[in-house]
Amino acid sequence: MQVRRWLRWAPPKLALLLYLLFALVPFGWMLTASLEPQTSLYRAHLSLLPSPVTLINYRALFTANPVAGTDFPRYFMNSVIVVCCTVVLAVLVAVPAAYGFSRYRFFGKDAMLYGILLQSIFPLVNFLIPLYILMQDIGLLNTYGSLIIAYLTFSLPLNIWILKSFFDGIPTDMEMSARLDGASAWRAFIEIAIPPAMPGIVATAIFTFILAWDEYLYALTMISTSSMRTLPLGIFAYFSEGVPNWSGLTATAIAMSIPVIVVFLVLQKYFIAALTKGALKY
Amino acid sequence: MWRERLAGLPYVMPAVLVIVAVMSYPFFYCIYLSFRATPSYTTATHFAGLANYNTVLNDPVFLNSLLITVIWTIGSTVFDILLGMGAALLVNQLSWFRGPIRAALMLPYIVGYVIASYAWLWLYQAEYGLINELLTSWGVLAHPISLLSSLTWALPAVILVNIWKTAPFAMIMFLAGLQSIPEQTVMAAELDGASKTRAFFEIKLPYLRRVIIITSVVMTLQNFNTFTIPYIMTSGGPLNHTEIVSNYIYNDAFTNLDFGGAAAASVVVMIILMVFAVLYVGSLTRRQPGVV
Repeated sequence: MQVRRWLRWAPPKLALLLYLLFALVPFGWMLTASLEPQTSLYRAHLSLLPSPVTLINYRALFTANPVAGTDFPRYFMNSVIVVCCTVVLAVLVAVPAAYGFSRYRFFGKDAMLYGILLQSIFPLVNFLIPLYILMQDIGLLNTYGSLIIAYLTFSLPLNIWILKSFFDGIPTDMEMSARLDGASAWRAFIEIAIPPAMPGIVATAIFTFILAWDEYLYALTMISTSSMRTLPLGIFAYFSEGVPNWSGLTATAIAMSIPVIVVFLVLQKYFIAALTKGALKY
Repeated sequence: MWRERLAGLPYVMPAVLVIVAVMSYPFFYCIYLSFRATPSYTTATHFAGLANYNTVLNDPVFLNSLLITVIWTIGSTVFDILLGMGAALLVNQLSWFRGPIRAALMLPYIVGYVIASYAWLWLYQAEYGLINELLTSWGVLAHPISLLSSLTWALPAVILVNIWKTAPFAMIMFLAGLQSIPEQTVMAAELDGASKTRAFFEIKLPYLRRVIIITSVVMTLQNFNTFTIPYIMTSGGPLNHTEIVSNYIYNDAFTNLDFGGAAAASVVVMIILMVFAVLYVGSLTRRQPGVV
C-alpha cells in the first residue's frame, strides 16, 4: 500500500524537479562562472560551485576597460535611460487610448483597434528598414531618441490591448455618477477611472520594462557608436578580443538580469495578470 | 449624437497618431520599397517592378530561411505547449511552495532572449562547456564537439534554447486556464470514479480549449517573428542551417545593403502572417460558451 502511494506521488514530483533543473541550471552555471577567477573556468573537473569564490569579476564591472572596449556603467546608464523613457511614454500614451477604446463608441473604432492588433503580428524586422531610413533622415541614429521611438512599436499596441481589458473589467457606474454630479469627462477619467486601473498600469509598465530591457534588434541597427550601446549590445564586447572573456561576460549577464529579476519578484502578481489578460482577451 | 460620437477621439488620437507614424507608415513604406531598386551607393531609388520579388523568390538562401523558420516555429511551439502544459499541471497540484516554484520556472522567460543566448553559448562551449563535459564524462561523446557548428545539431540546439526561454509563457497561460475550472466539476468526476487521466482529457481539456488555441497562436507568432537567439548564437550558421527569415531580412538589408530585396522578403513574410492571422481570427470567433 505504502509503495503504491509512493509510486503515485513520486513521478510527478520527479518530473517537476527535472524541469526545475532545466530551467535553473543554465542561469546557475553562469552565476558559478561569474563568481570564480578566470583561471578556475579551465579546470579539468566539473564543479557546480564556484571555487574559490571571488567578486573580482563584479568589481571589474564598475570601471570601463577602454582596451577591451567594455564599459558596463555607461551601458547600464544607457539602458536605464532608454527603458525608463520607453515605459513612461508607452504608459502615458496607452492609458488614455485604452480608456477611450473601452468607454466610448466612435467612428472607426473597430478599424483602429484591429488595425493596431494586425500590425503587431508582424516581426519587428519588417518595421526596421523604414524606421532606420526615417531615423537617418531626421538625424536620430545613435541617439536615445531613436530607440525610445522604435520601442513604441512593440510596447504601445501591447499596452493598449492589456489596459483596455483592465478598463473593460471596471464597472462604469462610479464614472457615470461623477459625471451626473457635474465632473468633466476628463476629471472622471483621471480621478475615478485611473485608481482602480492602477494594477493594470503597473502590470503594463513591468511588461514594457522587461521587453525593452532585453531589446536587441533595434539597438543593433540604430546604435553604432560604442558609448551609446545599451546592455544587450554591450555584452558582445567580451567576444571582440579573439578569446572570449567568459568571466566578464557572465558577470555582466548576471548583473544585467538583477533589475528584471527584482522587479519581477516584487511585482510578480501584476506581471502575471498582464500576461494572461493581454493574451486571453484578444 | 455627433458630440457623443466624437468624445472618445481625444483619448485615442495620440496613440493612434504614434502608431500610424511608427508602424503604419513603415508598413506601407516597406511595401513601397519592395517595388523600388535601391542601389547601395546612393539614397535615390527608382521603380523596379517585380524585380526584387523575382530576386528574392529565386534566392535559395531565402527559400531555405523560410524552411528553417517553419521547422524552428513548429519545433519550438509544439514543445512549448507540451512542456508548458506538463509544468502547469504539476505546479497546479502542488500544495507547498507553489508560488516560489512558479517564480523559479518563470526565470528563463523574464531574463530575456539576450541572456538566454549567452547563458546557452556558455553551456554549449566546445571545450569547457557544461554540456560537453557531461556528455563526455557519461561516455555519450568520445571527445567534446562544437554543437553550434555541427550541421546536424546546430538547429536543434538553438531550438532548445528558444524552448527554454518561451515555455514558461505557456505554463503561465495554462495555469491561469486551470485555475478557472470550477473545482466542483473535477471533484464530481473524481467522486464518480473517473481516473486522473480521464478527468484531464474529458473535463479539463475541453475547458482549456480556448486558452490552448490562443496560446498556440500567440506562441506561433512570437516564435516565427523572433530574431535574437539564432543571431547571437550562430549568426545563422553553419552554412545558413539556423538562419531564420528575420535574420535573412536583417542581413540582406544591413550586410548586403539591399533594402529593396529585404523589403520584398518582408512583404512575403507579411503575406504568410496575414494568412495565418485570418485562420487565427477564424478560430477565435467560433467561441465556446463558458470557456475562459
